[in-house]
Amino acid sequence: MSLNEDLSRLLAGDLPAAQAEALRQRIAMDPEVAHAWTALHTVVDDLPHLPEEAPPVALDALVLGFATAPRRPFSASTALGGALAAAALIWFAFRPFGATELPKPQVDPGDLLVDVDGIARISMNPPKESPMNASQSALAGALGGVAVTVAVLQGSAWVWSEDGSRVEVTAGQTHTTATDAQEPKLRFVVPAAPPGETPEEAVVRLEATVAALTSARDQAQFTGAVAQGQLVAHVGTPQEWPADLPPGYAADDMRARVDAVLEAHPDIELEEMDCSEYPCITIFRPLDSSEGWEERMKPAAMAMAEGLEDPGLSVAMSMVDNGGESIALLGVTVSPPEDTQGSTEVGARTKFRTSSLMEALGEEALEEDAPPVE
Amino acid sequence: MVREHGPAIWGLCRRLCPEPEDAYQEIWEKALAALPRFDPAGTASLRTWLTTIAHRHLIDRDRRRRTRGIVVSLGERPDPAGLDESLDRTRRIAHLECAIQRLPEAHRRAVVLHHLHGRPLEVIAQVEGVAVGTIKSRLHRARARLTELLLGSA
Repeated sequence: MSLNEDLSRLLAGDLPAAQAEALRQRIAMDPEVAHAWTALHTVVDDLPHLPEEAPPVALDALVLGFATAPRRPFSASTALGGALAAAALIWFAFRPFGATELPKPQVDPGDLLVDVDGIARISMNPPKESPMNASQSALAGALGGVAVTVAVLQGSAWVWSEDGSRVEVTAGQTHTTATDAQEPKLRFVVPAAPPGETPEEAVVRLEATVAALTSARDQAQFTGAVAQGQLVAHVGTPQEWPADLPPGYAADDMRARVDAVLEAHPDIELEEMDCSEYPCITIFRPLDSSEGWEERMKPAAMAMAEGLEDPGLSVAMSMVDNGGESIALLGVTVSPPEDTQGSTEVGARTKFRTSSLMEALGEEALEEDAPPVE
Repeated sequence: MVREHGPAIWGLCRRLCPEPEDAYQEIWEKALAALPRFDPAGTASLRTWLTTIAHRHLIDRDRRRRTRGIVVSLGERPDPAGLDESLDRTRRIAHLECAIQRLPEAHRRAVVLHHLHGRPLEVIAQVEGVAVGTIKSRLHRARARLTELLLGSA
C-alpha cells in the first residue's frame, strides 16, 4: 500500500489507531509527507467543485424529440448550429395542442434524425404534439407522419431516415421529407355543419371555432417565446459593436494588441480571433503545452489589457488531452469591466462564444495532430 | 425533468464515458421507459433514481470504452488583480479534471459518484455488485493516484 493510500485512509478514518498515530507523526516530521497530506486535502476539497455543465442544448432537444431515434455522434463543435436547430425542436416540443377541438396528431412508427453542422432551420408540417406530453409509443414515432423541412443556412446537414439512408443538404438548399402517403395532414378540421343548422347556429359554431383557433395561436406564441427565452439564456444574443466604446476597445485596437503580443511572445501563436461581434475573442495556443503552460501564458493575457484604464479581462483555458498528446488553448477577451460579468447579456454571449470556439478549436487541433490511420 | 436533472446526468456521462453524447441519450431513453415504475412516494428521490440508472448504464458501457480527447473548458473571468489566484485555481481544477480521466474505470466511477455526486459508498457498492470495502479500497487508490498526478503537475 502506498503512502498516499495510507494518507487517504487516515483522512477517511479507515486506518487502525496505531498506524494512524505513526502516520500523523510522519506528517509532522517529514515535509514531503506533509506536502502529500496537503495535496490530498486539496484534491478532496476540490473534487466537489469541479464545474457542472449543462449538456449541449441540441442534445437535450434530441432527447426530448428523438428519444428512440438511432443515435449518432453529436459533435460538440457544432454547438452553434445545433443550438439553432434546437430552437426549432424546442419550439415543437413545447408547441401546445391542448384545445380539445384540435384533432390528435396521428403518430406513425418511424424516426428521423437531422445532424446539423452549421446553421439550419427545421420545420414540420403539420406541427406535432409535444413529445413531453406524449406516451412512450408516441415518442417512438415522434416524427412519423409529418413532413420535415430542413433549410440549411450555413454549413451542411445530414437528414437520416429510419432505414439508415441519409441525404446531405448543403447551404442554401432545402430538403423536405414525407413518407409513403403521409401527406401533410390538416392540423385543424372545421366540423361540418350539422343538417338543418340555422344561420344563427352557424354563427355560434363558427365563432367557437375562431375562439379555439385564437386560443391555440396565443398559447403557441407564448410557449414559443418561452422556448426562445431558454435558447437565448444558453447562447446569448448576438451583440452589435457599441458606438460609444471607450478608446482602446475597438476591433482594430484589439488586432493591434494581438500583433504586439505575438511579437513579444514568440512562444505562442494565434489560433483564432473572432471580432464578428462585440467583443473580440482571441484564442492563443502555446507552442509548448507542457506543465506550467498557464503560468507562461499569463504575461500574454495581461499584455492584452495593458495600457487600458480599469479594463475587464476574461480568460478561459482549454486543455485537450488524448492520453498522450495534449493541446492547450487560452481565450482572452478585453472589454470594459461591466461587460465581463456573466450576468449581463454581453457576458453570457461572450461566455457561449468563447466556450464554443475553444471546444471546436481544441477538437480540430487534436484531429490535425493525430497520427494518420494506417 | 430533462432540464432539471440533465446537467447532473451529463456530468456523469462526460466524466465516465468516452461517448458522452450517446450515453446521455441512452440513459434518458432508459429513464423515460422506466418512468412509470418510479415511485415518487418511495425512499429514493428522482435524482437518486436517475443517477442509479445512469450508473448501471455506464457500467454496461464500460467494456466498450475507448480513448478519446477530453476537453476541459473553464470560463474564468478574473480581473487583472485577481488573475494569479484565478489562474491557480483554474489550473488546479483543470489538472484534476484531466487526472480523473487517467484513473482506471472502476476507480473513476467511485470518485465521481461519491465525491462529485454525493452517492453513499453502500449504494455504489450495491450497484457495482461488490463489497463496501472494495469501493473504499478503490476510492483510496483513486485519491492516492490523483494526489500523485497533482503533485507531479505542480
